[in-house]
Amino acid sequence: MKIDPKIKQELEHYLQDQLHNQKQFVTIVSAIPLQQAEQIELIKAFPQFKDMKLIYTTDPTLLAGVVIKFGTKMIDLSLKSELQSLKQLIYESA
Amino acid sequence: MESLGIDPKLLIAQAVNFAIFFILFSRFIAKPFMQFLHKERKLEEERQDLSNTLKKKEEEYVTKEKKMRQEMKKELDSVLQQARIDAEQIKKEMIQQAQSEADIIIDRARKQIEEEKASLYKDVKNQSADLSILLINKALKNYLNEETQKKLTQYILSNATKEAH
Repeated sequence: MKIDPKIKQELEHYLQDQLHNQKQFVTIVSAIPLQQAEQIELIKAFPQFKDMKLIYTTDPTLLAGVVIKFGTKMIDLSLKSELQSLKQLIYESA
Repeated sequence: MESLGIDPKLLIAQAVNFAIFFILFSRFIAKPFMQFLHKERKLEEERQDLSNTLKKKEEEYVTKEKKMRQEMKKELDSVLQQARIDAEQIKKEMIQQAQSEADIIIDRARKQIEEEKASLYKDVKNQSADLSILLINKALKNYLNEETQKKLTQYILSNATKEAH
């Protein structure tokens, strides 16, 4: 199936805009709501997020720690992911 | 002669008679009879020759038959021997083939058992890992309260800060 070049171009523009918009926002998911001190600690650890808009959400299944999503990237610092890593390690040692 | 009681006329007559008888006998009786005898002898000789020839031929046939029987027996023995050797060879080959097939089957079964064992071992290990993680997860959920969660998050963030610097 051949895509109309015009539609293709528009789609590319749209996706690029979306990506650009996403790059402006950083979503921080934590098990419990983060306090001011913790938020400052976070900015200290990741100075690249200083001028970006930070969106804080919670997810109790993370158990503890945070998950940072920005653009197409994700930094997982949660206890849940640690447990997953441990599980993977046990699997691979078989 | 007459004094001796011999009649010369009668003697002559008897001599003529005898001569006539001799001529007639030799011509019409003795000759055909001799011919007949000669013919019979010849026939007898021919018969004898034929009989001899037949006997010889019979002997030859008997000898030939004997020889043929011996040859046939020899050939039969040889064929039987060959058949026995061939059968032995086939038997050996079949046993060897069966053995190799059995070896392959045993090897395959052994491999399959090993694979199944490994798979089972892996499954058990994975399941125990899943169960362990599930238990840890549940235990952590029960253990972690807001305070410990907060402390743990702070610890993770401070570690992240240290790693960033």
